[in-house]
Amino acid sequence: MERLDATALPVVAVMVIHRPEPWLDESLAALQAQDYPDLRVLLLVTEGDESLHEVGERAAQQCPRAVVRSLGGNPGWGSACNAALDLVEGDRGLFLLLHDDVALEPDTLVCLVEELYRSNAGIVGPKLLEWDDPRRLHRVGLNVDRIGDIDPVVEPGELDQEQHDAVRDTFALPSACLLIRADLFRLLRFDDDIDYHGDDVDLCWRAHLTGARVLLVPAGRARHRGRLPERRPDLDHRAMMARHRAWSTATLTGARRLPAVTLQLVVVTVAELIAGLLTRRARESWSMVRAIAGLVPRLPAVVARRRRVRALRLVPENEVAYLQMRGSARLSRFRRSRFRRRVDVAPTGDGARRLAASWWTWVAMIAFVAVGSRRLLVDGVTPVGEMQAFTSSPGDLLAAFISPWWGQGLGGAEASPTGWALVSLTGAALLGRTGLMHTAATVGVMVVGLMGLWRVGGRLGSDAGRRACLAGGVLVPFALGALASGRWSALVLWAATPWWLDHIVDAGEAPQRGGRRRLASMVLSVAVVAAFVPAGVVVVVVLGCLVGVGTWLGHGEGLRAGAVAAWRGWRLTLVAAVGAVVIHLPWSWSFVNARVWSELMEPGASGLGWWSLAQWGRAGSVLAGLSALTLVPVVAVAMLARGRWVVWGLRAAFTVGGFAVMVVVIDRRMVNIEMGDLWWWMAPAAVGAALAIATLVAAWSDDVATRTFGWRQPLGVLSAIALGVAALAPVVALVDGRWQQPRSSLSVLLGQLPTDADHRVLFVGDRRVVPLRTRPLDDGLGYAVVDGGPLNVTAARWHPAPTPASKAVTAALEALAADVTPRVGRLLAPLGVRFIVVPLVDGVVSTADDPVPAPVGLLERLAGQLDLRRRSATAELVIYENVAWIPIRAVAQGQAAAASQLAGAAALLEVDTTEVQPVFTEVSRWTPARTQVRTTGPSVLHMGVPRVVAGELTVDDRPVPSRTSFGVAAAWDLPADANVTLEWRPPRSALRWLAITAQGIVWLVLAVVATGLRRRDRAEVG
Amino acid sequence: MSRRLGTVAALVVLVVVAVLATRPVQPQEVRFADLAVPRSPTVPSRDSLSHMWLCPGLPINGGEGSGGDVIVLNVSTSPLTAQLSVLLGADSPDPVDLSVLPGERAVVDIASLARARFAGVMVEVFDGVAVVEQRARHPVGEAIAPCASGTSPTWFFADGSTASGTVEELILSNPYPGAAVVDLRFVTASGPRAPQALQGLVLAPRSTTVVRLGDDFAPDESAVAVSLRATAGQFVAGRSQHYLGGGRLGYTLALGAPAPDDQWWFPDGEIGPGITQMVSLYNPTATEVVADVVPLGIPLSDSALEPLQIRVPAQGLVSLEISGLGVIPQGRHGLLVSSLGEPSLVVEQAITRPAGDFVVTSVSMGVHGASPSRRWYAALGVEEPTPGALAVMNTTGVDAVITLSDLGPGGAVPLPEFDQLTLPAGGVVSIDLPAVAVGRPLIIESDVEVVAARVFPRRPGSAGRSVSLAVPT
Repeated sequence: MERLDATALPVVAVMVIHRPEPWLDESLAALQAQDYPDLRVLLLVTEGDESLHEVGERAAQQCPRAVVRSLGGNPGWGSACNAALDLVEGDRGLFLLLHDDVALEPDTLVCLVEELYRSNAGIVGPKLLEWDDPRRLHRVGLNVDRIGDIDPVVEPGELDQEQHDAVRDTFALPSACLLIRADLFRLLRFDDDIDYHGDDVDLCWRAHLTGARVLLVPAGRARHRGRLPERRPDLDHRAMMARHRAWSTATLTGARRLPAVTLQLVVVTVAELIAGLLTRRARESWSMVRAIAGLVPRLPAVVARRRRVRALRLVPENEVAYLQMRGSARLSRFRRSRFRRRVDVAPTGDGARRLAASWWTWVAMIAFVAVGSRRLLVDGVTPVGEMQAFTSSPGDLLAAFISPWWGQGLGGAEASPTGWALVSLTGAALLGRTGLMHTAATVGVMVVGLMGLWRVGGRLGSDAGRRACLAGGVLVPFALGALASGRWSALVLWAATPWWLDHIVDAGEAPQRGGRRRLASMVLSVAVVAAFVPAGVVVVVVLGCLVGVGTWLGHGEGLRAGAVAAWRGWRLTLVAAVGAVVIHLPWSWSFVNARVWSELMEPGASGLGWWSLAQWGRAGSVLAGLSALTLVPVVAVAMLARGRWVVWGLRAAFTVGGFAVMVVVIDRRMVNIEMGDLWWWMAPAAVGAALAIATLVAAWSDDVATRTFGWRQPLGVLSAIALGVAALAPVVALVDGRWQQPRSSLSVLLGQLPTDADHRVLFVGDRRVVPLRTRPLDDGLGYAVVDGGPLNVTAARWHPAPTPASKAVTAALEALAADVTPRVGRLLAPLGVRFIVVPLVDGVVSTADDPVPAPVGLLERLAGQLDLRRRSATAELVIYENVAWIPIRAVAQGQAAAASQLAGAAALLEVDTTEVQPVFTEVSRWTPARTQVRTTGPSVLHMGVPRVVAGELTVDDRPVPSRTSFGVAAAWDLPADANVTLEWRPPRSALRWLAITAQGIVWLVLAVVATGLRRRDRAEVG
Repeated sequence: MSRRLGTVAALVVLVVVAVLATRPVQPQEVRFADLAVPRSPTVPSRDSLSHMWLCPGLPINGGEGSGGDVIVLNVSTSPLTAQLSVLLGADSPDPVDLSVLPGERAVVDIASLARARFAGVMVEVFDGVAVVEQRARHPVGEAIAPCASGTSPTWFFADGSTASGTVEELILSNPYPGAAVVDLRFVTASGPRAPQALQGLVLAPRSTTVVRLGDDFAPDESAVAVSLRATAGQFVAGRSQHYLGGGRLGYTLALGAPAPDDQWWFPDGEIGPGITQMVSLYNPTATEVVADVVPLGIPLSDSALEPLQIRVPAQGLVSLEISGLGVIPQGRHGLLVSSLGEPSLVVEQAITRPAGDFVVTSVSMGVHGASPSRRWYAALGVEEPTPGALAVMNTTGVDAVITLSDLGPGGAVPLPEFDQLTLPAGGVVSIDLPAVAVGRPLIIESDVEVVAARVFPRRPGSAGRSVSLAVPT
């Protein structure tokens, strides 16, 4: 190799010293030992005089050629280096920028300078090795993706086997040791706004913009200690990394790529946040969220820097982007770390095989879900059953949540459900992509359930069992059936159950470990489920009870120890259920006020029969009958398990058996108590069956298969055959790519109705067919009132406690049933009910081939009403229009105005309610509105909401008191025969704000505790 | 040991599940309302919030002698308000608000409100209970008929005629805001027919539609039974008949039957010189039915006769001339027509009585099997003292005590001499109405179920009778 002679360019080594630590001597000695002919050493000390003095003494001993200067404070590493530019003149030389914990090999500088010359590079850096063990790599350049995230290329502890020993271009080099041309450094300088983290990436990125090459020179070697968090525990390193990364990405990305990169940054961050919440690693993602948000107030600075950077751009943007890594650096890191962790745990060949098997299991599972859901992913999920679309914008939904009144359907003077806030936040995180939300809420929930099964399967201590637990999630096709049939609440419960099961078992087996976090996590998970399925608080307690019975009877240390473990698990569910109710305040208070049990346990389907139930809710699907064979392992595992598998077998058997008893009791209507929808109870049973399969496989592979032949082996074989045959059912379900979900639904057919929000729609009929949460009218009969426009999930999932308005609707329907008036339309008119829909065929419970009969007498009674005009009558649904309807916000005159002062049905029946004029139609019900009207005779502004939440009205800027209208709504009297300006403001409540704030804080605290952010933060940084 | 116990317990639970799961499932029927079989007009319950009456139609074309009134009788003890609407579609006049004191009547001349060939009328009653009837005026006489207390998707007529130029017109009224679609079928001696032109008849919202038989459809038929079935909506059907031959003369206008039934009661039957009595049995179902025709209210020795059994084919019509059988003694009697099995029959009775040099035919639909009641209202009474003006039949097996009352502000006021009349089991009585009953509504009360019909002069001072049923509660 050609060596440099004495005419080589001068190099100034700049070492920034924070505090003279013990290793400083080695660093200085290494500098002194450099065989480069023209090297000067500048030591910049950031601490006070004492440090300066000590550094001077050490330098005198180890590196006499060094010059020591004090910076008088710590401006950050980059800014400190910039200070060297003021101390050293000239652009011909080179700067070697060093941390104080870097020790170069004697020929390192020579190698770097040679390569810089040879390759005409702008910046070069050496191969960095671990300080304590130079056989292991520390850094070999940095890969950086489009959004500024760093992939360090090497893994912690990776041995140096010359696998990186080739000179190569790299996007960035660690700032620990950089050799940079003086002119380039003077041009670029470090950004003073970036300190400690990200300064190297930012500098190299800008170097690329100027066309300068950045090279890794592995021939040059240096040891680096690192561990900045240990030296500076006072800094929030994650936040700094995230902030600087966002800053660099926002200011250095070319204008053409900026929108796409910004979108990518937001999407990846949201995805990471969600993944982080699930894996309890949300802190890093949260830091990024804050960093992105922090850019908003810094927009002027961003623009200014972009303007400055524009002057540097000498190469096309795509050439710079070409140097950045494709995909996600985070994902690349994660993948390597997962592999590394597995290898660490099981470094043997068998372990690697098991790890590979797990990966393949997941690959197969994801492929299975993706193939089976392909049409749903491409075409979108059909809004069927409870899986109605997310049609409200996140903003509107949040406004509705914050509002002191329940603004959906008939409304009510009570707090809105917490679920609205959760949906709104999710919608915001998904950038308001309602279709994506719909898919995430259905297919995504299924994936969450599978992840839960994987997690709880891990507790078996058997890889085969764990994989079987995951596979059991689809072998027992409950989730597929729920997805196809729109049984969203059942799907949510199914997805939550394995997570709950994991916590319950954990509480029993390891009470001393992570109790607070476990409790917070459990409360939070129960609360999230209860936000959408309030009955979840009951289901989780029953689950805890049944799992407890299995734990008690199957515990390896006897009944007493089993009882203690069972109690701990059950206690967790009890506390979680109570906690969930508490953190749902004030919404949960509405349940207390109402008939709590009836509200929680609204009845659903029944009378399906044992064969239909045994098919896990997929009756009618091709080969669905084979799914009944998945019950064989449930019976087998109770008999076949031995040793440590007994407790798992009993947990599974009692979970399936206990919940199955409830399912059958509901199906047979054996007790006269509202017990909710049988699918809610079948969901944990399905998870129990998957657990039984997992236990059976685990027991077989680790125990039964290795024993001498007996009756257990044939039983195991029989179970395996049963499972093999049962597997045909979910495989066949793959064919249509939508889990046999119907392509059309009632919601689609309802598209024929006007989408104006000035009216409401009353659904009445068989509760199994009504795609909304209904109020019971009679056995199997229910109704729901929703706002006009497309059906959405908020209407499908929630309704307020009974109000005078809902009681009025109930009374009107009872009057219809009793045939005591032909003017039911007028009874419904003040509530804005314009359409009455009788669903007949929903494509799920009721199909064209096997329709559920219309409720006896319903259509006949509707046909005999004088105000109802049949608008549509198909096999799927019948729609009547109420010609007497009053828009939700309307100015009423004449008879209607006079009658609005009266209450009761008699007043309504005699009134012609058609003399009304809708107002405020152009704005939502949460937005202040203003309009001008011309009144003729006595007039009122009628509003079809409860008076207590009707808001405030001014007429020509004078406030007008409200009064009750028709006994159920609100009204304001208007001047007769005048042109008036009406200004309406929605209701406001400081108390509501206070409650929401308190609730938000509680949820946030729980999330922090549940994800273990602080503990992990200390453990992981560094 | 505990683990074995656990295994056994788990297996027991699973066995319990299996046992419970295999129990038979009760089919679930979701019921919104108990639908009563549509029947003759009935006074609504006092629990109703409001109710409507639908008059089958009045000839208000302005011709000489034509016209019609609607009579609203307040049978509650407080004033009521009502709204009368003439159903002429876009030509409908504004509704008329009515206020009627207890026991009083409001009479509205419909011809003063609108002009049309026929007009159906709807009366909505609020704040009380009313009985509503119509009186159609025709040059050859008047026809009184109760209005319908509800609509129905089906209507039937058993006794129609187009013989010798007789005009049969079906008046179809749709009181609803949406259109109704109706299919019309008829049965003549040559069998059932369903002309394409009479399928899918659209009844416009709040309108009256007239279908005339005899010219294009079923010309010159002495017996025509009609079946009207809505494929969408509900409606009310009346029939106007102007008899011009075929042994019949006169004018009738009355409601049809909203549904077939298995029992029909006729309180007014008469055998005598020059009197022709026909009973038409129409079976609109797809199953043949055997009907028993039982004369009632005749001497015990005679009534011991075996019931006359008539086989009525599916979609068939049988006309039975009672007066020609020779088994019923002369005088007044009643009739019961019944069948076994599903309700399958619609039965009408036509009596042609001498009236001076002519004859006058009256046709009446029977009383549905479920309609016999202990109280009957007649909003329209006689306008002159009339012998044999009321026919009351005891439909039970025990003697009845009946009372004839006027209706005052406080309720029923028994008429002198008509208090506590005894009516034997299965008997029929014909009551003469004296001057004290003239111009007053009537209430017929009994301690057991009876049926009552008015047999009024077809016009004050003229010969010939027109039969119309009273309205039961």
